[in-house]
Amino acid sequence: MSHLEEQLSAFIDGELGHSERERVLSHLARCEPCRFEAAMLRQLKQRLCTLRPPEPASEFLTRLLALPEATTGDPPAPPSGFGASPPLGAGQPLGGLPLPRPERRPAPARGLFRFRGEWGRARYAVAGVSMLAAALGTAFLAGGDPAEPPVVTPALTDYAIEHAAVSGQSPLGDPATVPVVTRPLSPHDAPTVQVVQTVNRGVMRSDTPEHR
Amino acid sequence: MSGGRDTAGPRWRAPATAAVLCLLLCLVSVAVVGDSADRPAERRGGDGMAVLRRAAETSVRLSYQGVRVVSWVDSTGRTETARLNILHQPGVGTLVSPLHDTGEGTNLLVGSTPWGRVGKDVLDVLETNFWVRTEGETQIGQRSAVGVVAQRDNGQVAARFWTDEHTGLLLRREVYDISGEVAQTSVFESIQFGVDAAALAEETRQPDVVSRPWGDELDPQELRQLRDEGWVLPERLLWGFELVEARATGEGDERITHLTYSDGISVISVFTQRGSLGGAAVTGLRRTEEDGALVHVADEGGQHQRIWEADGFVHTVLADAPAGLVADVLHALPPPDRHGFWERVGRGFERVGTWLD
Repeated sequence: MSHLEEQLSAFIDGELGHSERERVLSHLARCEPCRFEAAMLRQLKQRLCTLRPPEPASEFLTRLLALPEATTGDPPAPPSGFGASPPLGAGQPLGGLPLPRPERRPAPARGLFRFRGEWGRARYAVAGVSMLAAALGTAFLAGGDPAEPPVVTPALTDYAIEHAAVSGQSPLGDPATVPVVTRPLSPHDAPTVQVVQTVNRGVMRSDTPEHR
Repeated sequence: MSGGRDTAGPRWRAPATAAVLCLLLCLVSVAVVGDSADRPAERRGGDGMAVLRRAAETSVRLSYQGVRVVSWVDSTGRTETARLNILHQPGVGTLVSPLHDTGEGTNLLVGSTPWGRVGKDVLDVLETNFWVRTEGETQIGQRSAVGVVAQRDNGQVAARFWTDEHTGLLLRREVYDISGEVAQTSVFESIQFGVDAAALAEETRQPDVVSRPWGDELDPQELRQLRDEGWVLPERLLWGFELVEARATGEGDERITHLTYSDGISVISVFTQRGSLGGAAVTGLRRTEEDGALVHVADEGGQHQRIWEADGFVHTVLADAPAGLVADVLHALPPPDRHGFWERVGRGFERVGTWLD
């Protein structure tokens, strides 16, 4: 018998269609190892769900905020193309050492270009954050309920009576849990479901030979 | 070249036909295997099934009256006990009356409608799920009884039954949780058979509540149609709980389905309706948060009650089964909706993904 493998994960995540779901349930009903694996996956998922979303490190935020200042005077990274580094055993790269870079002098700011130096690479970060915010915002809007379903109150009393009608007739069932539906105290009170009155509480003891 | 193509045609046609036939055969065999995977597993059962079938038949056919003591362990590990007066008359039903110290109580008449086919289905499910064998004779009160044990594949005991040797009626029942602990017991503290039918009929004429199943029985085609409309109505839950009956009430947006599942020993009812709970409290149930989702629960009286909303539907579960078993079984149903920011964003990405598809 082949086991469920990847299908099990999809089942736990509720991603399977009806027929696949039925097939997985059918397999789980017969396969102890898969049932165990499902329980483990479920526990793992529950633990992951309880984790909070990660907070950005304060160091990262500080570095992000400091980016505009950091970009103004930094030289570009040294060239890394073919011939830029010395061959094995050689003291200098092919074609000799690169010429010393002339000292950069800040150009006078003109029009819109005066902002270019201040923004530098920071503008990419800002653009990235903006895109992320836009994507999250779109997903948040799309994730809302398309049409708010009507608010309902399950008629628990009716359900309990209906359930009793079925469970009370189960061939080997037990009337242990047949609920008692109390009459309303006044015509304005709704009926409520209560369970049978407890007559004692204690440790359950079985008088079968195995439990003596 | 053209001559080559002409001669190659018939030569290749036969293998191609054979390949297509093989492919068809493979598809058919895969379909057959898929169907068989959907079918319940092979029957287990054993010599105890005959004893239990007789008990099921007797519980309907025989007149009897007695006091039944029932005990259960709830999800907090607390054990509780109650006493019930049981009165059964063939063709009328079973009148269940709690024996309260105060004398107050509501009589509930169950079984006034025949449940024949479903009763047989439940026994079939029992035979499919468990190894059922007799355990010899013992005494239950003053009566001689035959013991039957139902075990899972791993040898763990799922339930024990003791039936009256003389009449065949079920005298005692124990249900075990998946941890192996006793979770529910019930036993006739006293019992007499063949009670005066006229007196019994007089009493059963005056029940406070008559419990009858909803009239609209759902056939497989109606179930399929509802599933196509987005209703989650599984054919089976975990731990061998099979759908044994499907009913409904109401029409349109007010329709409510009632699916009954059984593993042969316990019964779980799942009620489903369109809508949401709107964050409101449910009378008699306590609000609890599970994995960041709101669930309303109560587990008193040996019955686990649970209400939650998921994907535009409200699910209500009433389960007469051990707490640990119920907790595991219900994972086959849709999980409760979470309402946090990241859950909504996750749903949104999923929906956008489906739009792009």
